[in-house]
Amino acid sequence: MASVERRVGLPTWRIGCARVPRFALAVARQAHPEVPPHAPVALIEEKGTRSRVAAADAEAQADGVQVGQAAARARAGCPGLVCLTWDPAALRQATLALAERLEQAAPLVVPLEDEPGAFWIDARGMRWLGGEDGLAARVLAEAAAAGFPELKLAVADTAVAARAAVRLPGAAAVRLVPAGGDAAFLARLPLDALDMGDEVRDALLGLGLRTVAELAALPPGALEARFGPEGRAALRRALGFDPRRPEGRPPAPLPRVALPLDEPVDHTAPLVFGLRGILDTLASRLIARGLSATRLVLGLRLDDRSERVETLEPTRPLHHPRALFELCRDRLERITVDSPVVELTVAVGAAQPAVAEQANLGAGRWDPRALEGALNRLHGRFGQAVVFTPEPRDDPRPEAGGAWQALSEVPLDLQVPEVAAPPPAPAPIRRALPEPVPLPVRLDAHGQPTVVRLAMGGWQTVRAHGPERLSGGWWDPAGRYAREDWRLVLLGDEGGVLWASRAGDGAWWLRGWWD
Amino acid sequence: MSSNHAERLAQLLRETRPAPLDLDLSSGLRGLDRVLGAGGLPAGQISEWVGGASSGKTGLLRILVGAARRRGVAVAWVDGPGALVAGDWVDLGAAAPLWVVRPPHADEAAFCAEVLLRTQSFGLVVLDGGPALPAAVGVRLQRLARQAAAALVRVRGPQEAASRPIARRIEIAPEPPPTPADPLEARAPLVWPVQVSRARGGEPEAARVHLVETCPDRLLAHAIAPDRPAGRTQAGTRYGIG
Repeated sequence: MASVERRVGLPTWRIGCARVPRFALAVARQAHPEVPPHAPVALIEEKGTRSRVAAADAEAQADGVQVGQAAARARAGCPGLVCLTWDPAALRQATLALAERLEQAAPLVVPLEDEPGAFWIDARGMRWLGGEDGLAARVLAEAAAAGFPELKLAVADTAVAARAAVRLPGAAAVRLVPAGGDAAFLARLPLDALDMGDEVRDALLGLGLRTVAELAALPPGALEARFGPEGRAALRRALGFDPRRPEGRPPAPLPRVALPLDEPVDHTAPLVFGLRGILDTLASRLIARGLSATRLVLGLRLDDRSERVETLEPTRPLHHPRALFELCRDRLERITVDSPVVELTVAVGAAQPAVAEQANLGAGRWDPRALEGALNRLHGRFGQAVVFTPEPRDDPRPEAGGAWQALSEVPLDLQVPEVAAPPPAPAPIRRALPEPVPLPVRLDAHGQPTVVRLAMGGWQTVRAHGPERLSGGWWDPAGRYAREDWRLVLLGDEGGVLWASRAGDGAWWLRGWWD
Repeated sequence: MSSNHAERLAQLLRETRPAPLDLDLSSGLRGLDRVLGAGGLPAGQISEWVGGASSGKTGLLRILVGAARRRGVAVAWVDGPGALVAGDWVDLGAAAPLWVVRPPHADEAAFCAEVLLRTQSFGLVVLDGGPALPAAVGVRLQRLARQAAAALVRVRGPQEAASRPIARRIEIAPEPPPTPADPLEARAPLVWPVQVSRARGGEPEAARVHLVETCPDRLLAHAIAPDRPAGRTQAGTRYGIG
């Protein structure tokens, strides 16, 4: 029976399953080269006060050591037994290391979640790469180079057939199940070889079934009625249907670091001392994954079991520890908390691949990295853009003839022209009030202001220069304007020049002053 | 590395070392430069720029800012009061950037100046507004300015407390603008003489600088000439947009 794709006419999958028998023992032997090659070895798993045998090699098993046996009993039965520690973390690490090694030989290698040292391999498209034989040779060579020459590889249309082929006792190093031959291949196998849940397998064995062919011959409805979805899945796998495909590793969660405090602190300033350390860790994790943070989440766990969360968005993606510190420090110092802080956390809320940076070779004192840090520090302290550059605008009104453009990125270099433009003539500069304020004015016979009343200085005599008549925006009902701008020279002792305007309705407004 | 190679490398470094930079900032105006000091605004020190609200101090500082930017020296201006008008600072001929920092509160101005000085990327930092600098902050800013070889200018009003330490104090006082021959001449440039004097940091010096505000050449020359139909004085009807 053919795979699903073959039956509906789609291109078929070819899935490889690579497996290192007794992987845990092989890893332990690699970690302990001092153990003699033929010495019986068992891995001991510590669970509380109990020690059990988690794995045993062939020599140990020949001496009577069994998996699950108490460690003391195993040592008593096999005096020469070498007991090594069962280390799940080391197993995970070794599995990932071997997966990376096998990726040199195959386009996609995915570790199996339920078995260390076993991998799915995408075996499609090998026609121009030496075929599946070539793939097998490359995989075995890489495994041998990594210290696992005993690795076995099987390639089939379905995951269940490939895995069954490598789990068979005494399986060859390479087993290539021909395309379309999965069902026939599986039918010959014992039921133990089929990938299914232990409960279903035990029940089927208890019913007297011994081979996959016997399972495939059962009526589907009865099997589903007895074992539910697991029974249906087992039957479909026995028939050569298996929807599982090698899929890329799920993306690892974004880095997060925490600083638990021995003693709660009442304010956040002392946390700055610990902040630098955890941000160094966070930066190293970002750099190791080739990421830059575009959003950081600063969390404070409080003594009253509440949590205070602040989100920081840098002006540009960051991964340098100093830049991260500059961004977080001021925000942290300004947070006020109602309850003592027991833990500080910094998590990367969003990230993007880090881009290469151009070295700053000739810009003199211009230091983009330091400026980026300053930009982030100011942004972090105030929570808003506070650094601007003036940009020209095409508008005759003085207050609209330019705009403050928030600075979001630091130029990497300064481009200094060889010939600078001539400087403008010295001139007084406007300073604007936040909003225009009404200005009481007395006019002469020509309609020119002669006396104005200032909030701080009372009535003052002025000499008017103007007007500069401004109008525009007639095409926009909300944006039209028409007014006169005047320069009012204060004739008092302190002097000065005011910037006033007369609106279309005759009202006078003080907009600012020249300085 | 052998000693011969090390000596050769040291010699190459000596030969390729650039000439010392002229760090003091010249305004390009002889009188103003004389008051500021030998070569202009001294780098690595704090200078105080003291003047009333409408004394012309910002206009004079803008001359220095423009001169620095034309030399390729980046400038930062901490606008504590938030009163600068962007259009007046668009300088298309400038080579180096001008960063204007506008903190939400003027009290934060000194902090912003400190952050900018720490980058050692600016040759001129203007600290405009904010309360008087406490002595500790002043000393710290002085140290940072020296490390960055930057001129730090603190702008304050004559009534506000002086800062310490201050290497130089420049006082600006306006003189009454001369009365134009025809008081109704709208396009007459507003010529504004400003008295600049050095009150601290060497021998007293004084100079007069003329600032000139020209009215844009848009409409009729005369203030009361009828450039619009008589009687149309309702809001929004004056200039043909009613």
